[in-house]
Amino acid sequence: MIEVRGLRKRFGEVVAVDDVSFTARDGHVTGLLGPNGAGKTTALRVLYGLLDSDQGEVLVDGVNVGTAPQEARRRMGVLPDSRGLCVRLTAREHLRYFGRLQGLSAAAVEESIDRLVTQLEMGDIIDRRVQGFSQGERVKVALGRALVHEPSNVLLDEPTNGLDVGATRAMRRFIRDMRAKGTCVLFSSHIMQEVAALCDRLVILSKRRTVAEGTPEQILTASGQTNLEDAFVSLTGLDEVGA
Amino acid sequence: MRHLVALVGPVFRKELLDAVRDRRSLMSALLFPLISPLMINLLFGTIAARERSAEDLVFPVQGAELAPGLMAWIERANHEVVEADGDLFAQVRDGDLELAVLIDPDYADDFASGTPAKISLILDGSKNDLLPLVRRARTVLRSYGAQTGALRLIARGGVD
Repeated sequence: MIEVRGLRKRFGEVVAVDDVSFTARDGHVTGLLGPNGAGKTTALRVLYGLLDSDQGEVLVDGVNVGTAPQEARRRMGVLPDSRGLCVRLTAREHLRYFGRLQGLSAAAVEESIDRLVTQLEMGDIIDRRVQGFSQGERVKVALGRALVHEPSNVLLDEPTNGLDVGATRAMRRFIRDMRAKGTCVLFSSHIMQEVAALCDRLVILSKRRTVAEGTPEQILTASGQTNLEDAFVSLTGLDEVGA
Repeated sequence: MRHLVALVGPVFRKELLDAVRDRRSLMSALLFPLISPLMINLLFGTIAARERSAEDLVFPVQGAELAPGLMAWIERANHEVVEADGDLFAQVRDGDLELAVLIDPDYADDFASGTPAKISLILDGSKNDLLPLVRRARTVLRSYGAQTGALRLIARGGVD
C-alpha cells in the first residue's frame, strides 16, 4: 500500500508538483494518469526516494520514504522512466546486482533469477549482454530487476513505452498476475486505452495537482462524461486548450 | 551505515565488470602508460643526438691570420679552423655555411693596444636545429675573451 499526502516539490522557481495526494491499495492496479508535464514522473521520483519533497509525505506499507528511505525502497520495485541499464552487463548480471543491492543472499538471488526467467520468459536472453537488446527485451530486464526482491509494491513509469503489441499484452498479463497475488501496482501512463483496460483505480493529475481519484466509474460520474477519454480531457482541462 | 558498507562489494564488482568489458576505455587507459615512455625516449634521443653533433665544431674563419691566439684556443678545444672567403653573411643566409667567424681588420691592433677587439659570430637565428652548434661556438669564443681578460688583469695587477 502506498499513501501519498499533500506532496509538493519545487525546483527553484519551477513548481513541479503542487498538491498531489492519493492511495494505491494492495491487490489493486492504480493508474497515475496525466498529460505530459503534469508532474507524474516527479511525483514518482519522490515516491522512490530519489527526490526529497518540500511538503507532504509518502508512506509505503506505513514506512515513511522521507525518514526511512532504505527501508521503504526494500518494499518497492521500480521500473523507472529511463530504464538505466548497463549495456555491457548481461541480463543475469543486472538481476544479480540488484538482488545483492536489496540485501538478498547469493542463494536467494539465484533462486529469484530462476523464477523471473520463467515468469518473464527471458530464457533466451538471460546470459546475453544488454547491448543489442530490443526495447521489449530491455523492459523485461528492467522489470526483472525491479521484482528480484519480490516487493509488495511495484511502481511502473510508462512501462509499455516503446513496446510492440505482443510485448504490451505480455506486460498487461504480467500486471494482472501481480495484482492477483495481492501486490500493490502503481503505474503511470498517458495512454487511455491501456489505463481503461487495466486499472481498478485511477488518479488523475493535471497542472501538478490531483484532480480526481477513484474507480473508472466514479471518475465518469464525477466528470459527467460517458467515456474515459472525454472524462480525462474535461478533468485535465485539455479541452480549454483545444477549443 | 552498516547497510551501506554491505553494498560496497556488489557495487565494486559490478563497476569492475563494466569497466573491464569497456574495451575502448580500457585500451586507452593501458595504452598511454605503455606508449608515453617510448615517446619520451624518442624525444630525448633526438635532442641528445643534436647535442652530440655539436661536439666537434668546424669554424670557418675569415681573417684567421690576425688572431693566432684565438685560433690556437679553438684548436686546443678540439675544434677545427678552416679558411673562409667571400661574403660570409650571404653564405650563412643561403645555408652554405652553418656559421662563420669574422675577425675585424683592426683586431690585431686593438688586441695589441688592449682595447676591445671585435670578433663577429655570424649565424642564422631562425634555424632551431643549429642552436646547440651556435651555443657551443659562442661558449668557445666567450671563454677566450674571459681568459684573455683574466690574464690581462693579472698582468696589470691591482684589483684589491
